[in-house]
Amino acid sequence: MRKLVIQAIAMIATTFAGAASADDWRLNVGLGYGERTNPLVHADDIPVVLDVDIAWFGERFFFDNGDLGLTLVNNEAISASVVGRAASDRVFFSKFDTPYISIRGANALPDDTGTASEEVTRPPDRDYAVEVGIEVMTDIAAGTLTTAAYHDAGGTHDGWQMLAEYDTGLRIGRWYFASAAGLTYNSSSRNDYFWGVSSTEATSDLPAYEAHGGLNAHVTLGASYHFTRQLSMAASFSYERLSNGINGSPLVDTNGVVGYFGGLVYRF
Amino acid sequence: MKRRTTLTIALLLMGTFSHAEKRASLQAKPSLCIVDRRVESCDMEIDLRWHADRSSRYCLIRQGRPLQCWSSTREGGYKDTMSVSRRIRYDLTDTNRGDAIQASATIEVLRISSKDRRQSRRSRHVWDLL
Repeated sequence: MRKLVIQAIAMIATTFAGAASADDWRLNVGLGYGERTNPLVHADDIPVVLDVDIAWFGERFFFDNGDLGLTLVNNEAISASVVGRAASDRVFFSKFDTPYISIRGANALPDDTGTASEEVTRPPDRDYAVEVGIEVMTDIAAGTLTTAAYHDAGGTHDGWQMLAEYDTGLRIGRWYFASAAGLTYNSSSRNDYFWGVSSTEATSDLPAYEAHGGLNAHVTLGASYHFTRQLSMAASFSYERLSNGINGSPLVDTNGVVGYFGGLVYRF
Repeated sequence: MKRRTTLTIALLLMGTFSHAEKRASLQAKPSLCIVDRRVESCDMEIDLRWHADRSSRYCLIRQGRPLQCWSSTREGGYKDTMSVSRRIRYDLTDTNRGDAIQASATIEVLRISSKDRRQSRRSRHVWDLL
């Protein structure tokens, strides 16, 4: 039995070692400054100083910055994979961790002691959701079309998300320009979990809210200048327009999320 | 203090000797070709310039293949037009010194995206901005 286990481990190790080459790995480290704006009220934007891009792609499996994939098809025409990931919307709420105190003002009714009452609005608590879905990529004209559908796999929000995105790139000498645009549909359950306000969370300052499903639209632009094969200077900008179901929430005070980054990138 | 001075002198001497050994230089411009999954080569006109400390018969070699030779001269230039899809090495040899390589230059290839389509997946995490 022990011999069998050792043989199995050796076989798996040989398979991975045989399949792995330098081209399968990707490690890029970006050092600079950037921010992702936080659509939540009373919340800080998310600063990014270090942007690490780490990925490994095997014939059947891949790891891509936290996403895990099982590839079903990968040929000249199409790439299709089952992908598991953690929905990172939770990060916005980690910047929303300071309770804010509302002193009820002139319109407030005095309490039993005859003074204006004080109410603490607690920041809503949200978890990372593990989502599993199918992702299909195909080449169209000079770019790649990615379509994907994910469903909550851990019972966090019981919702789903669908997305379609087209991306393309252009090189001019040592410059490389990349752009992408896409649409994401979030189901009512998903939107309501992250952006809704339940009756238990509601206060006089934070009314209960049910977030409906809706379509977000996004665009991303990036430019990089390559000094050498390893070192480049890069800048990126992204904007995501939030659906009415999200920006109508009393938790949200903006209708879009902006992201930008500028710095040096080293490719290992 | 003494140890530090000794180390500084040693470094200075090493720098002097390494400079003395360098008898020629070869420069290639441009020296970088960027390719992606769709465009896998660069059509380049490479400007090669070389200088040497002393006159001799020098030859410019690309990947082991002679491109041009110059006699009794200390500098020269050559324009190489080619489609680049992998690393290219140029050598300057001195035929009067047994074809010894005097200087080298390379054209590096940077692959922005792999042939594997999956590697161009775009990260959608909040903290990924590049």
